Amino acid sequence: MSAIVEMRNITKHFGHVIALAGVSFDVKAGECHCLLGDNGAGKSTFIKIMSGVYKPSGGEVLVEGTPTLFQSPRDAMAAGIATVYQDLAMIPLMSVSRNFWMGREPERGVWPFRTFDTAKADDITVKEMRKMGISLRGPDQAVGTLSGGERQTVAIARAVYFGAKVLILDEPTSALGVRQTANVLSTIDRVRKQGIGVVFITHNVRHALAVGDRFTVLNRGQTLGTAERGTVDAAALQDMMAGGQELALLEASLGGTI
Amino acid sequence: MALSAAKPLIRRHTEIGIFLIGAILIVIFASTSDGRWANLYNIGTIMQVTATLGLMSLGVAIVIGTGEIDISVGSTFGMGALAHLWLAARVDPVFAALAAIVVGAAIGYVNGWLVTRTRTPSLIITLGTLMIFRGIAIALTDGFSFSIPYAARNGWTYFLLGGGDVFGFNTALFWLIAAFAVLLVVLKAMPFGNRLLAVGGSADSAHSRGVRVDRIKLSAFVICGILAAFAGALEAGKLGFADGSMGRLMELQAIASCVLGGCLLAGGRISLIGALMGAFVLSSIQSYLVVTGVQPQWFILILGLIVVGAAYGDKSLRNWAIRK
Repeated sequence: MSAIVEMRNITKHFGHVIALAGVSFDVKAGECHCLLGDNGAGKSTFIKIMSGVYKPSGGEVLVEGTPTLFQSPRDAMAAGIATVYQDLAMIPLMSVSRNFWMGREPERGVWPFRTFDTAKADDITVKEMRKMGISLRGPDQAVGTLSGGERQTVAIARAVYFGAKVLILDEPTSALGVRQTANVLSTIDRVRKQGIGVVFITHNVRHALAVGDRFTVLNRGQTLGTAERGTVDAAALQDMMAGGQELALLEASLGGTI
Repeated sequence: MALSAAKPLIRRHTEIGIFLIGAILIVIFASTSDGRWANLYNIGTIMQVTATLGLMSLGVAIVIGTGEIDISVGSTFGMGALAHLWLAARVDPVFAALAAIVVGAAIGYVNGWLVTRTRTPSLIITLGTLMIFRGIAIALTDGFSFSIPYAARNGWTYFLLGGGDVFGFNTALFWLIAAFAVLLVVLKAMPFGNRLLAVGGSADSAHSRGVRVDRIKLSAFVICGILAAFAGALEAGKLGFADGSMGRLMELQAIASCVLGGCLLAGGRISLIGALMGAFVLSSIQSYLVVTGVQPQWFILILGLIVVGAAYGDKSLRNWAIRK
């Protein structure tokens, strides 16, 4: 099966700082491809290129086999690449419904009297959220009152509803408790089964192993290869992320796996 | 307790504070001014001041909604007034007011363009344009004032554009009501309103959803410029003359109106009705100080003290509402 999105040999420089030094990565329909890496490894930069926020300094982005250059996040969204960022997925002051439709509000009427069709928006929001297993008090409930896991789920439901082919999740579990993490992981599984390619960015090896089909590790702007499910274990991934040596010493002194 | 039932309401509606403060002040003003404050003529005057300040405050509220600020509105007001007067003495006031609107839109565009292109804080950009356009206004009038000859102060268009009263209220008030109604619909029931508040709530978040943040901010500045210049035109229509200092310090009153009215300076949440109530409260305070004959040298001091008191009262009310 061919990849929906393929990134070939991507490089990115910020002035003299080399954030990415040739990273290749692809994601296929219906799989969950985990991108692992420690803080500062270049994960965020990489997915920002994939979602059109940054332009790469070098390398190619192929969407369904065609080389594409995204000028803005709008282009990436139009190509079916949806991104859920860890911190900027939602606007807490606004309602769930308004967040859900932000930037793509359904309209009613004739220009210049075209208005935001709130009834339709609210209706669809509640339905889509119920599909993801979240029952809202109402569509006008402020996002600020939802838990972190629920916010991620709203963002995921939104991306799926708007026809995402590839869903990029940036550290969706990093700020969550155990139960909320489990909810988000099961949402990922649900989305994958609908035939959407999921890119799951995390630095937590256990979360990655719980749902991932393939694993790519980034370390200091470089990729250390991609592994299939079943060919790696937690310790091996952890080693690749941290660069081996130092962590092994630390582990020995602490007497267990970190 | 019955009072605590009001807590959720106050939490949801940030403008309730200014309404309570307004109600308290009205009672105090009416009972301590011996009928000089609470009479139809004086209320009409207050509404006229509220109308022009309110139009400006609505524009500032829209810009605050995007998380930016526009403090150049006082100069925009002055430029609008001068454009209106200069032309109204020559052509029909309708074209003069349209010219004032174009001037306001242009100033707003300059502000918005500079803010979005240079990514410089709007506070400093609009502080600069505040001085630039004040300077231009003073240079244009050359230290004198523009005025419309008495002979030309007639006709229904002159009447409609601030030059006359309907039911004892200056026509500017009806323009304010119209502008408020339009903006309320735009804000609550149009995609633009949703995007505006999204940009203010989190510009990065909105950008990541494909909202064109710069375009929204630019539009907000243009709307603000238009409203401020139009307010200036109405004020000029009312007075029939203006000099280069027209609208000086009004920018601060407009911002105070918005903040007292429950607009978050950080952006993302605004209340148009609150901003209008803020403008009404500020105009009422001024009027009270005038009719009770407070000496001019104390005027600005007392106004300031009441504003600080009102802001503190509003903050306390909100803190009380947040407490369980």
